[in-house]
Amino acid sequence: MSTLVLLSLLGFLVLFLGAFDQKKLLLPVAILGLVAAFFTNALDWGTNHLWYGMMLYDNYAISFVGLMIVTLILILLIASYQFRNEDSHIADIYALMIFVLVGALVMTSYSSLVMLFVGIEILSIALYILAGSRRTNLASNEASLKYFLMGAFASGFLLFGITLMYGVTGSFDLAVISDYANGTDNLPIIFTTGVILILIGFAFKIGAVPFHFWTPDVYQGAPTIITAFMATVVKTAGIAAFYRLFDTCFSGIDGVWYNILWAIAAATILLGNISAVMQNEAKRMLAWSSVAHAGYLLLPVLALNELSSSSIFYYTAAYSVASVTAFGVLIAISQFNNDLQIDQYKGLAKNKPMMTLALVVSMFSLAGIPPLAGFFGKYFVFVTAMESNLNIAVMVAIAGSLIGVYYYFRPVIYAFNNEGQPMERIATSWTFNFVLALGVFLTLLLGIFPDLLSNLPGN
Amino acid sequence: MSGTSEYIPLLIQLVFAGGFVLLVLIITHLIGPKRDGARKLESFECGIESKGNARLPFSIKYFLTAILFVLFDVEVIFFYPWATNFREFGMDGFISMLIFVAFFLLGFLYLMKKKAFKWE
Repeated sequence: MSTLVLLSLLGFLVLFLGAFDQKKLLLPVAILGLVAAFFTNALDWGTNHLWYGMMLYDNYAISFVGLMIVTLILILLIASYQFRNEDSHIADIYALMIFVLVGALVMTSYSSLVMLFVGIEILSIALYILAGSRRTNLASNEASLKYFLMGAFASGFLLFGITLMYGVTGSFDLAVISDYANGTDNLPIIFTTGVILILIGFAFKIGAVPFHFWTPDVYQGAPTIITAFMATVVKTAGIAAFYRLFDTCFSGIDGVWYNILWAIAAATILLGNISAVMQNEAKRMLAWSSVAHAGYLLLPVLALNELSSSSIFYYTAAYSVASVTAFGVLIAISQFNNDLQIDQYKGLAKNKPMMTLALVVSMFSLAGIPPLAGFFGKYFVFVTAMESNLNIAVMVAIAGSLIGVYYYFRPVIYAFNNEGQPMERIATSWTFNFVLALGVFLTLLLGIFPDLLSNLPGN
Repeated sequence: MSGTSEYIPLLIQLVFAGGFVLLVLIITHLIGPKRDGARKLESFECGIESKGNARLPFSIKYFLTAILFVLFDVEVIFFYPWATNFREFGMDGFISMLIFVAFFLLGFLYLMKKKAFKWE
């Protein structure tokens, strides 16, 4: 709870620093505040406090919030680099990102469906603005409008599902709903309808097939740093909320949703990977790849055993670090060219060897090449799925990963082609170099010592 | 199921309502006079001949004012349920409301600093 209050006040502080023209203080204050929030968050470890019957701040929530705070710190450092030459609205963008984190915190720690909905709305409304934050750009406006319309629609599905749950059980409390679901022999049809509607709402939010149609356009149109933010923090919050609800309430009634979620996961993995192969634009390729990763993340939700939460956590950690690094490189290269084609990575290795190293490590990690973090992420997810006899789904996922190797290697192959345009003009900053170095370091560290995180969140 | 038969009057009303609309549409089409022409197709405005284009540019400032009005109006609505339950909520309710108003005023201050109320 102290983390929630601290983050909310930090958001306001950053907002007002911007309004009072204290541009120099913005980044230090935001970073210091997030570091403080990380420690107050860690101090709650093991307390399992239930706040007002609404939020259960257990180790699961603490682990995911800690991960999202670290990711946001990395993203803010890159954002300060991307916006270094613009002086308008930076404070607003930082503040909105922090408010998104507040929503994400509520989404990972809810113990009542009301708080789930409130969390999703806090997160989404700030994101709609962020997606359109490049106001003069048509694509950014389109992304914002599309995301808003689709997101509002998805919220409608989710809310309808929650309403039906309340209608049947008379409570928003997860414990009551869980008791009802596990203790009733013939579940009424409106209860199962409610489960499916909530499932659809979540599938929309994390961009799973067949509710993924907004993902490529929104990810491509939004400013690149916001895309990185959506692909990491927001996806982590979405999958954490998804798993929390299904683990707490619906684990005993998997007959209702199992086949649907199986089909969604398999379709997401296949369509995400196959579509990513066909993209020539780097940002759109990464957008489709994030759809594919949502598919892998659905496997532990489907498996729903004692390994699920730790494999989701490890996978999102590995994926977030690699994505931030990959998007960082993309931001640096595309500073003169908004719609960067994959073959325009040419000449990177000759001119920017360190940036190439970051590109290689992040792409290999996303593809799942050992000994990088992404490999163990996939390994843990597949082991979790095998544990619940999801052998066919795992075979689909392995086929998807093999397809993934092709498109993740393409930018790397082009980067080592020396015929490209000279890239000396690309300016970097120390924050940017720091994030890239840290991203490479963490990806290697988590790959070589997976035990560091693989026991989290623990119970 | 005994419950189903209770809804038969509703079904009858539904059929009647739809049928009435269809009937009126067909009858007016059959018995009404038919006139075409430029005058007939012109948009009707109080009987006076219309002039110019309806799509006039007007100041975007009105839009911001309207949005801000809606925002603060919605926030003020939250005062009513609190006011009617003032005694039961007691001190806790009062403190909660003070926090709410503090956030509310922070938003107001932010708008002032962003010069949202400067008309010129």
